Order: sequence, then structure tokens, then C-alpha cells
Amino acid sequence: MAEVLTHDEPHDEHADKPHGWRRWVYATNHKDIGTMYLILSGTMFFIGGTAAMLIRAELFKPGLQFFDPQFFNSLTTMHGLIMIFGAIMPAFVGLANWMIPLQIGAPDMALPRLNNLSFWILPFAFTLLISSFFVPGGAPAGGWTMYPPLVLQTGAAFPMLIFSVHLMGASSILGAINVIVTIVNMRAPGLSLLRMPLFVWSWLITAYLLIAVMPVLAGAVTMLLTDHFFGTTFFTAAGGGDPVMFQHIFWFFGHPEVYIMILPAFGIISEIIPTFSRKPLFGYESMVYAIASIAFLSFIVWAHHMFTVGMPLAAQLFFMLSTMLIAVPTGVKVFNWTATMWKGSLSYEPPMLFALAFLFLFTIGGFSGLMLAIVPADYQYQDTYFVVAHFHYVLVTGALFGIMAGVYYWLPKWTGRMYDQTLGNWHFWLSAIFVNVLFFPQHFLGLAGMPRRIPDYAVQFTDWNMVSSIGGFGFGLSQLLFPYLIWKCIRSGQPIGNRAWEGAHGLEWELPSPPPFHSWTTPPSNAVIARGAEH
Amino acid sequence: MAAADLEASHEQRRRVRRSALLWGLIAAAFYVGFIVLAVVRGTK
Repeated sequence: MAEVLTHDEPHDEHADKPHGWRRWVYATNHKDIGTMYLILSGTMFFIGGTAAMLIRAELFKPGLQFFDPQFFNSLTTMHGLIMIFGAIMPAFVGLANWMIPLQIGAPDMALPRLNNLSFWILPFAFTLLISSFFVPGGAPAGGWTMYPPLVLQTGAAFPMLIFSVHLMGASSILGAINVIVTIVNMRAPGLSLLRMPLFVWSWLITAYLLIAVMPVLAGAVTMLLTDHFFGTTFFTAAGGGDPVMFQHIFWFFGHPEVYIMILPAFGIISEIIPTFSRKPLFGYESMVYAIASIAFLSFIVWAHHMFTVGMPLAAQLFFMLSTMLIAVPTGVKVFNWTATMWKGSLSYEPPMLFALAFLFLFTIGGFSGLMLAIVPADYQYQDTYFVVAHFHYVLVTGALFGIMAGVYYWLPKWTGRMYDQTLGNWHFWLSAIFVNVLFFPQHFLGLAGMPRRIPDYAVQFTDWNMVSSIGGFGFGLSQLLFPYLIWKCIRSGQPIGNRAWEGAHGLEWELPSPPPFHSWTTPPSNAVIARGAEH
Repeated sequence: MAAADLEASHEQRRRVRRSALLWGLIAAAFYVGFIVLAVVRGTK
């Protein structure tokens, strides 16, 4: 235990590490905390995925098969909350914990105890949220967006929902402070901002977004809480309140939240494509400015989520055009990734396959986003399966594939062993095929008018729902290969050297694989930084 | 550890503490501010 409590000592004076449960409960080491975040994320991914497969089972054909409508609504709500706050966000924080100190030549995160607190808040938050399935009235069922007045009808689960959202927000804010302080202060001498890897850049900007918008969510859910328990009427028309105000406040948080879930994936893809193209990243600086521009624009587009509630024509025009403007920096990124591959010596290992799938499929999600930005068209698409298809292309083939690409890229560094690439290829191809079988038909269903968040539907939607459900089961089951591959890698992967991929650049590849418990106890030399910072 | 290294290490710790406090205060002000503003305005 002494090793943990005497963290202020220079790291090289206690190279041994704590053992047993203390290593994890009192963890202050960025790698251990990163690992815990990734395990939590994986667990939540399979819980949220189980909810998704139950949803697809119910929707396989018309007529209620398995659940009553209330429970179905709980499943959709909890699937959204668990995947967003439990699977995607903690996975990126886990990757940040593991990689940022290694990539900037720092011995650890700047605030290790705060890092421990940020992580350990989350298991309590999710235990609280998931246990709401077992209280009177069942789990929250008003959608992950928690719109009043519907959400105010939630039973005993309501305060559990609000408190767990507060806990998740607090954890994110603490994690974001840690990331900013680490990147600003702990970079190795000589590693200027514009020599940082793009994953670090993307996380620096994401951390600013988190600090800016998580408090807004906290304010919104606190207002829900006081409306429910203390007689306020923020969102109750009968008392002079306005339910539409909640939507404005929520989406002022919610749209930047989308970018919180995608910007780190941009960073990961910007690491992987140059490695497997054996070329420097095309347009490094423009990539940084593009990420910053997207982050800025994310604050002025929120009302495109709610065109149909009614707003002045000028507001509709403003939000439509500002939303379309996001296509410009996003287009810069897609162009630069493509230009990086141009005339490169490409190879197609699993990280690159996931990165390429990201490039194609996230772009489909981006294009359907542009369609949704057009106000008169959005009036037709609103609350249909077209929207469901759109955001799943962004968040599954975007954020999730980005995370998988990152894990496949850095897993050999973390474990010191190379995984079974054939199994990785199987995982990729099954995922890439089934994810399209799952989500592409939902565009057709939406365009044909099938509404979202319903447990049953008219008979003309049957065929594509069956196809979508088959894709869902296939996608869900093929994810079981992922933990098996990781387990097999840890158990029996072939040992590798410092640089797992011959084209890889970056300070993390200058360290042994796996890196020592306390890495970069002395900052990297200028020569090492120059070698690592070749963009 | 050489004296210069020690001084650099102390300076880095000071910078970490300062920026952690700054960002902590900003985040706390946002967090508490939004909630207090919301509740105060709602109870008027």
C-alpha cells in the first residue's frame, strides 16, 4: 500500500507495483486506470448490446412478441444511456488514460488521485442506473433525452436516473480537468503543441467541450428533479413553464456531446491511417484546425434536433446553415485521410480495416446528417427510423469502430503481445457486414414512415425489420470474438518489440511493449521526440 | 537528481497545481452556477 500512498516520490524510486485488490481500488497509475475504464466500457457495451438485441427481437415481426410496451420503452431508454455514458465515453477516457502520458512523454496523468476518483464514481453510477430495472414502475422509459413531461411520469426510478446522470457528469468533468492539466503541463520538453499526436489534440479539444457542456446537463436534470419533487414548473405549461425549453437546454449539451463521442475517434483514425499507409499524415495543421472548428460549430447547431417543435423562420435558417457548415471541416478531415493514403504503401491489418470502414461508413452517417439538416426534409424524417439509422452510422460505425480500431492498434503495445490477426480480420468482416445489414435498411424504414421508439408497427414494415433484426443478432454475436481475441492475446500472443507496426511513429512506440509500470520516468530526448513527432 | 532537475520538477508541480485549480474552479463555477441559476429563477 505504501507504493500508492507515496505517489509524490519520484517514480523511479519505487518501480515495484501494488498487488491484489489494492492495485485496482487505490489505483493511481494511468495504465491501470485506463485498463479499468476499458473493462467497464466493455461490460457496459455487452449490457447495452443485450438491450439492443432484445429490442430487435421484439421488432423482428409485427405483433407484440415478448414485452409490454412500457418495458420496451425502458429498453430503448436504457440502451441509449448505457451505450453513450457507459460504453462509448468511458472507452475513450480509457484510451486517453493509457495513451496520453505515453504519447507526450509524461510519467503519468497530472492528477492521479483525481483520476482514481473519476473512474470509481462510474461503477456506482451504473449500478444505480441499471438497478432501476428492479424498482416499482421499472427503469426510465422516456427516452435517453429525458424529455418532460413524459420523463416526469417515471416511477421510483426517477431520482435514480437523475443522480446517476449527475455522477456520470461529475466523473466526466473531473476526467476532463485531468486531461487538460496533463496535456498543458506534462508534455516532454521540446514537444510543442503542434508536434503533439492528433489523438492528444483531439482529446484536448474534447476535454474543453466536456467542461463546457456537462454542467448544462446537470442544470437540466436538476430542473427536472425540482419539477418532480419541489413544486417548480420549469417545464410544466400549466405553471407557466415550457417543455420546449428543456429541449433547447438538453440539446445545447446534446450536440456537443455527439462530438465528444466522435472527436477522439478522429484522433485515433489520424494515428492509424498514416501508420498503415507508411506516409506522414496529410495536412496535420489543417486537421487540428478542423477539429477545433467542429468543436466550435457544435455549440451553435443544437436546434436542428428540434425543428418540428416550432421556431421562427430565421432560427430555422440559422440552424440549418450552421449545421451544413460542419460539413466543411469534416470534409477537410475526410480529404486529408484519403490524401494520406494516396500513393501510400497500404496494408490491411485489423486497425486499418476498422479505420477504412470508419472512413466510408461514418461518411454515410455524415451525409444522412446533412439530409436531416434541411428543414423541410427534416419535417418528414423527424422521429422516424431514418434518424435512428443516421445516428447509429455516426456512433457505431463512427465512434465504436474508432474505439475498436484504437484497441486493435494499441493492444500489442499494452500487452507486449501480438493478437491473432486472422481472428481480428474475422471480427472486422463480420462486424462490417452485419452492421450494414442492421442499420442500412433502417433508412428505408424511416423514409417509408416507420416511427422510432415503438414496440410494434404496421405490417408493410415487416421485411426490412426482419433484415435489420438478423443484422442485429449477427452484429451482436460477432462482438463476442472481441473479448475472446483479447483474452487469447494476453494468454498466448507472440511477444513483440517496441514497435508493433513497422510504419508506426509516436513516442509510445519508443517504449518497450508492454511499457514499464512507470514509463517516461525521465523525459524523452530531443532526438527521440523528433523521431516520434514525424507527422 | 540534480538541483536543476529538482527545480524544474517543483516548477512543473506548481504549474500543475495552478492549472488544476483554475480548471477546477471554472468547472465548479459552471456546474454549480447552472444549477443555482436554474433553481433560483424557477422559484421566483
